[in-house]
Amino acid sequence: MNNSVIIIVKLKTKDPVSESAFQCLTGEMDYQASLQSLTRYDYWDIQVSPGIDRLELGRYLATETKLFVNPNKHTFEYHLAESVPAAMERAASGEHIHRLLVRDNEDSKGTEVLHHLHRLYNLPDKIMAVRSGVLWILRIKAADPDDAQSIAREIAMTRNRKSGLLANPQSQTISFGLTTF
Amino acid sequence: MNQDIISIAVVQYPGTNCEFETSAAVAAAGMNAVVFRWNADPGELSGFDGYVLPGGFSYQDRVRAGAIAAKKRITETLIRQAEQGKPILGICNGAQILIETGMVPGIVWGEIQMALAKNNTGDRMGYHCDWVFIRSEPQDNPGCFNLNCRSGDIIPIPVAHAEGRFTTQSYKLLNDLTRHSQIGFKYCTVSGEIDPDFPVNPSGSVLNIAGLYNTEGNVMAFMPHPERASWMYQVPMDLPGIYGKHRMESHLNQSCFNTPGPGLTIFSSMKQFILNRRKS
Repeated sequence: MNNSVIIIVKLKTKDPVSESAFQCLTGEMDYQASLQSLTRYDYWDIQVSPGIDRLELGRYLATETKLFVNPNKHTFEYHLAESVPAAMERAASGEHIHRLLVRDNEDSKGTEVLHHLHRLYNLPDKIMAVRSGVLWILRIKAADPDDAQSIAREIAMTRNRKSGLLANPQSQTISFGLTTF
Repeated sequence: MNQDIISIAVVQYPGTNCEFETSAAVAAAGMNAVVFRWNADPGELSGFDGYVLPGGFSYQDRVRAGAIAAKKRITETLIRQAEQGKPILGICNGAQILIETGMVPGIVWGEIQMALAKNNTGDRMGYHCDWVFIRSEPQDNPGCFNLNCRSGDIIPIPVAHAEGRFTTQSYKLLNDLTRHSQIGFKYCTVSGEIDPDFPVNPSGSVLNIAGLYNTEGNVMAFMPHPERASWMYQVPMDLPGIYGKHRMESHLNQSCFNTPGPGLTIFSSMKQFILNRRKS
């Protein structure tokens, strides 16, 4: 989306989902040598009507609506879509950071939130669309960036029991990228 | 193992929560049910005649429903048992696990060819819990869990899920499923018509699929809960059709209360399949 504000939300405590995924990938599958860490964020892409102050709206949505963030358990940040920071994790020598965004092909969660924003918060003029997703950040140890990218793609796309976990390509799409989405 | 006894492992992953009522339904069908924990020795699984993966939230549905359980060692053992022709029934979360292993539809064995995605029926999304009707589909060689059903039989049964929409990116696969008679049960109206819309199709499942087999017909991913419809006392009195009527009558005749409900046929078919397998 071009005219979007992005809200990124993370649990303050240890995330059981990314913990389980990491244990599965390194304990049950063959990624123990390559996958160093795995972090998960909720990723909200909110398309805003032209002329709206996107950052101000992002602040309002994140802090006032309670639809995206529970301040008791989440931390959050919001950015213009074109300026989401590329590095949210740091890589040591020989490691590579890969970010990937998993979205449901039929985004019922985004549709539901859009409905609430229009009906409960009276924002139909300001918000045109909402897309939900899960942003995964993988810290991968590999000989070179190409190897790391290939491992990240393999981990992301579930093809069979031995290969892939984070997305089922039959119902989800994955965006790969090191910069903005 | 005693040849007269049919032993079924009801596999419990962390987060599974239907293992005891499923075991009771297996027992009501005349089989011996053993709750088999995910961290027991997988080698012991080979001694069972068949397997049921009950409903629940294995691994809290983390990442995706069934995704983590599908990778576990015990699941690998189940795959080996399925390859020997033993029956495996995945109910609800169990169905999600089977889809994530690639055992179902299994046209390319082990490859993920489908998903059980979030419910989406147009206006309605999210968790849905209700009684629905399913129709036993015609098959050249009836699958393991259809053996005691006639083609076209209508079974009322509860569903309770948020991620039960069979879907795929491949149109060819949908043709293959029909061609190979892999669809065991479809959601239908009380009179057996296929209507793709809610509430007849409670999840928006493609082709109204409620139960889907592997190509060999011994593994089925089944979204409804037969263990919640295995005795007449579980059937609601206001349910349309003959079972509701029978249940209303049984309200005045307590002896009918514990008679078999519509869902028990799934488990009795499993027993029949195992007996047939022993004879052959």
